[in-house]
Amino acid sequence: MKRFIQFIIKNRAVVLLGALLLAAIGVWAWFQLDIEAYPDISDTEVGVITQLNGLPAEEVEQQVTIPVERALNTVPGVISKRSRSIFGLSNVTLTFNDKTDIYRARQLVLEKLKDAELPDGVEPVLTPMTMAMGEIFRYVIDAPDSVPLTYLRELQDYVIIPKLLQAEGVVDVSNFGGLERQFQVVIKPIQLEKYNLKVQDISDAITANNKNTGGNYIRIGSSQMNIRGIGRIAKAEDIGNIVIDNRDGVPILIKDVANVEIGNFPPNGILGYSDRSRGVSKNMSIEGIVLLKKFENPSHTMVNVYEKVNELNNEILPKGVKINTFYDRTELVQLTIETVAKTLMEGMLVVLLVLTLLLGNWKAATISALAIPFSLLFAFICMYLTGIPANLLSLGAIDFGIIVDASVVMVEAIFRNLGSASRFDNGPGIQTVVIRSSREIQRQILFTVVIIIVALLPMFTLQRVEGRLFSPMAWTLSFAILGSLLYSLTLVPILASYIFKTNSSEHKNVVWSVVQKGYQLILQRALTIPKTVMVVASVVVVLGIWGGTKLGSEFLPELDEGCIWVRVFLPSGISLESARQYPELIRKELMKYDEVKGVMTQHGRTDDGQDPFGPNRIEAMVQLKQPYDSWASKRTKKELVLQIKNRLENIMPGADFTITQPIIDMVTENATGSSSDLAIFINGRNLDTLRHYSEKILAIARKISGASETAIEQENKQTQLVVEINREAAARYGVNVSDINAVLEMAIGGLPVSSLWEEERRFDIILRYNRESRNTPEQIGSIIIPTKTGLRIPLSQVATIKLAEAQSIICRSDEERQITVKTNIRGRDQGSFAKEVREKIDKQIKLPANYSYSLGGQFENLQRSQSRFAFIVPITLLLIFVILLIFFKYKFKYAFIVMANIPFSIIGGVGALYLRHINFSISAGVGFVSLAGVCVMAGVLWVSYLNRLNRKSKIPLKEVVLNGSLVQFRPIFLVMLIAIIGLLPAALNTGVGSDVQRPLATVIVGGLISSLLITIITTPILYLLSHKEN
Amino acid sequence: MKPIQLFIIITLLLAGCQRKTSQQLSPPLVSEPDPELKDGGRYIEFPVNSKQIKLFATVKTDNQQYQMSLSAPASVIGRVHKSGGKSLILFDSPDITGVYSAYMQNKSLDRTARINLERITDLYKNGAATGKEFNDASAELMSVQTSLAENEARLREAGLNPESLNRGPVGTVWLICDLPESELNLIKKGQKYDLKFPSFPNETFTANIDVVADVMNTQTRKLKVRLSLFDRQEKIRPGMYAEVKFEAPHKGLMIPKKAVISANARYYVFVKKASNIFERREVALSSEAGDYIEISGGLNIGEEVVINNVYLLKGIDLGI
Repeated sequence: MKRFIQFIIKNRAVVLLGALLLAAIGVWAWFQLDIEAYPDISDTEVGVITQLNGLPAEEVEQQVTIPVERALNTVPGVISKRSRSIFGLSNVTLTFNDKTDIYRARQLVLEKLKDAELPDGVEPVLTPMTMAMGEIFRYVIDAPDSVPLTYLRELQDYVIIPKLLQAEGVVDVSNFGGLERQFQVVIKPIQLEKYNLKVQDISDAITANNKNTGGNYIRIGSSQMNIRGIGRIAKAEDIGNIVIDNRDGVPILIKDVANVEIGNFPPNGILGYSDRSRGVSKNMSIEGIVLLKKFENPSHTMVNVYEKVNELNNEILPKGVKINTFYDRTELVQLTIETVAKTLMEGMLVVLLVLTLLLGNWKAATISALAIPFSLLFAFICMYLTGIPANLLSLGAIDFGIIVDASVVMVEAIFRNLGSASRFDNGPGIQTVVIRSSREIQRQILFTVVIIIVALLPMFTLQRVEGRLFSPMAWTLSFAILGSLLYSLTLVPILASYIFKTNSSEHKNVVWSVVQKGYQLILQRALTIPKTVMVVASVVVVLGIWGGTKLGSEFLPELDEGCIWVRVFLPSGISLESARQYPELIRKELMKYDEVKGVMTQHGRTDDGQDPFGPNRIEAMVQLKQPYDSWASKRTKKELVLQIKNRLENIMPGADFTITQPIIDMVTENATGSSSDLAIFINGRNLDTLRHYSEKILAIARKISGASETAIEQENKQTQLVVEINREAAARYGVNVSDINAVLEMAIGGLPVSSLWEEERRFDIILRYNRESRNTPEQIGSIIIPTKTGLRIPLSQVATIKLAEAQSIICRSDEERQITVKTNIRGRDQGSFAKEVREKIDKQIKLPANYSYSLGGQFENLQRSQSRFAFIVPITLLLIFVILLIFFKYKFKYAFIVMANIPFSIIGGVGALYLRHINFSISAGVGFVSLAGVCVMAGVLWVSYLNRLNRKSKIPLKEVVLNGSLVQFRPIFLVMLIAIIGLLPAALNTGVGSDVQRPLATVIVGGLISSLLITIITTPILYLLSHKEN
Repeated sequence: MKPIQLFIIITLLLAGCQRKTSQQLSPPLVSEPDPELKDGGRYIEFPVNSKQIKLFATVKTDNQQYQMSLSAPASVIGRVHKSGGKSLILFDSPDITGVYSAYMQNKSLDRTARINLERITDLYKNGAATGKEFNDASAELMSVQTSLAENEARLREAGLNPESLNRGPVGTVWLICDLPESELNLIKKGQKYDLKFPSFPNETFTANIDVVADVMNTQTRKLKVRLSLFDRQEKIRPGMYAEVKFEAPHKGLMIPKKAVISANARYYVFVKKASNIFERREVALSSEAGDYIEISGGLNIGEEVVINNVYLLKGIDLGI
């Protein structure tokens, strides 16, 4: 170590050049870094989607979901398995542990899926390899009203989506809305009767008359010609001319018994949107959702996407048709980066000012402050190398105060030694002073930096969501601190040796001398009554910690996404058609708020079935004007959300709402199965029993204060029309169940029987009875079923047609049926709310055997990280203690004195949270962790300096302590004050993205203030007391 | 203290003070109080002055007349032709023609056998005929009558009333139509109905119901109905198909379809009982006509049913 500093000073020019080079690389690395708003916090997940046209939920569960779940039982690394079955759709989602590679997981799932015993023709597919925050871009296709939606849908399916899929980083583009063109063979049952035909005959005729073939080749002369048989249906008229049967030489054509119409597939979802900036509002439109591939960077991908969008808009799409952006993730990235940059700049400026003010020397201040850019650039290089993206959490956590600390300590030591050296006329040269000061202080700096990094240990060990959120933060902070260590140990001495002169002593600093005078007076008084002071301090600590247990807790402060996501649950059983008025109403109401920039409503679900939503579900994305302080109403976002919630509840009583934000909604839903703050899962077998108890629990949860948007997640049963086949009757008439099913599927269900190609565009050909013959239960009952004997009997002869109750949705979690009571928590902390819920349920409800309940949602994450913290924090403290022991050469008492600083800082953190009404969250926990690191550092500096003085001098210990403390007071005061001031902007900022930093910064600021006020007194006293006992 | 330091301190202090919290602006919109459920959810009672009540507009129920209609396929089974001054009936199938000829033959045989029996009886009474002759004559009549009955039954089964077939003037066309059991309330004997022939898509013909079959086909649950029309121009041939539109005016309690919801495997409507009270009422549905549906039970004339946001009421009452 001694030689190290000598070596550096000797080769100072080379080292300086090297540092400049490093800085240059750092700048380059910054431009290479992936920039995103929030880190990808979703678990590794693989979803299996299976669509079964027209099958009710119970059938879907039994025939598809359960076989799929069973087949996937043996996939390794699965931590949870959830499924949802609704009418015509089954979704099974596997969540894997953090170690699983997504490609491997997908491969395994595909492999095992082959073993699933599924009905014929049912093809499960995997969800796109994206993540919860993968929906980076939403666009609408605008066209004059005269352009039919079926045409736009064709453009979407065959022009736009294939083009966008070419953009690097895009994994999938989902369509929402629009109408899918199809060729409908609308059968007139009367005609079927007339010709004595069956539906099956028509479907057979179509399939038999729609094929192109290859006849290999023939040789003619010396040439070879390929043979191609063209028999595909090319247009609607072709279908009409297909022959079904021939009676006495007279062909019966399809057009004799049916009309061939070009219609559209009955939509699964309707998209509407209103955009204030363009002054457009459409009730039926078409949207594309661009999904980002997992591990890809949104900003880079968006550049590629825009390139394709411009190409489409300018060159490819027909005139008048245009792709317009509705939601673009880069806006959020921009906003958060602006927030981070703002706090970073403010922090840096404030640190520089304070340093100038307190060091009284702008050169010294500049040398110290240069640590900030240097450490940042160093961190960027490390981030680039480790692949950690730049985002709000990784950059937002950087506390300039902590970064500057090491160099401030070093500068201060050099400065102090220079001051004493300059008293002598021909004192040592500048280089000697620098080397001496470095030697004096470098060990302390090294150890304290190690301790700060060790203090970050709990953050590295967090798992799943919180791990992905905070470990980049821990890494980045460690990188920056390492950078600052490097800077303080090498560049500070070098720069000092260049800039300072031996006679550049400190100016008489008025501010400082006043502060020091005051401190001297207080410390002198306190040292006379050491025990009293310690007792008072201990009482304060106990009070503070008691206060800490009273703090509310929550998982994460809301990561503001700059927009609002509204989920609407209408009563089940409503038709898409009668529910259509509601998305329109919601958009109209929300657009009344000036703060709202645009609203997009998704009613129902997408066609590829990633969300199992029926026509009773509406999702609305509400874009807000940015920045928030431009709002004329001066409302906060929270107030706006509350207004919107109340407004919607007022105009739509009987519907349920959940208001969240798009990314977090997806993240929590994927991670825990519910998008609400708290989910109460009730597991068991019988759905009626589950529903019964969930209603009881709902009643309890609703009454708890703070409950908002409380409801049962799964829709209740809905009435369906059941065609129950009477086997006896069917046997009597010689009717097979499959004959009846075929008629039901084709005549009522509109089963696609074949397809028609127009160039690369493929359209379904479906069969259906005309509307008049399948509209009511009676009409369905009189649909004719052909029998083996040639007799034609009405369906009602062989089946009972009746109304029956059936499930709308069946959710399963780890192969058990589950019903969820969900609630958001407003105006109260999550932790105490959950506790109250648990207590009340345990007291009031006794679940039958094999039925259980558990709490989940965001709360699950809080619980998991709390238990992790409870385990790892003591270990970390122990580790810090061990490092301190090593530092103090195994003198326990010094290690204790230093560790005693931690509780004094904690009470300040708790107090600050309390004063600002911030709940305890993981973010605040991270604040406490870094706080501990800084306090320990201060203690190390203090105690080691006193030790050195104590060894050298013969004067009484009390004098030593007093004098030493007065000297050491300055660097510690500086270090802490700068750390406080550096984070003050982050603690006070309110823009988009500031929410994550605020608790963290508040804790550090508060904790350091208390630490600054208390430890500067208690540390000398403890030192004194520990020596007196000897 | 240097002025520069003072300046910096003051600036910092001012910067710190600027961020005052200005949050007491427009008070958040208050939620409307929740309606109350009474009698196990049968009644929904809103607070008297609730603004939400007006979301649920109602209509007064009343009897309304509407046209119930049904289209059914029919085929022309026969036609009265003129042949050499006599009328001749042509059928669409040789079978029926055979049966009809046999029937006609039986009919004349019956007449002869009857006269014969009368004569023999007379002779027998006066001792001019033997007992055997008398017995033979009665046996013959019986056998003729049996086959007459058998053929008549077969014709009736095909939907033909042999008695009335004879009466038709030349140009009369008969059609047979199978009507499903459920639609029989639509027809009335002697009523006129419109029908169309695919062969003459632009012409509408009118036919009467002559006969409604006596027996329903138990397998197809259909009843044969015979219609007849008069075709002067001799356009219509036996074997042609036609589509008959049966229409009947009907009076019933009609409400808009959108007022009806389904839940618990039942149909319900919400009836406004007082200015702020709605009742969930189970109803029985009958036929539809356009946007309206007939209620065959559960509602009385003059009651007010909710027609807007009905599903929201369901949500309040029965949950999502």
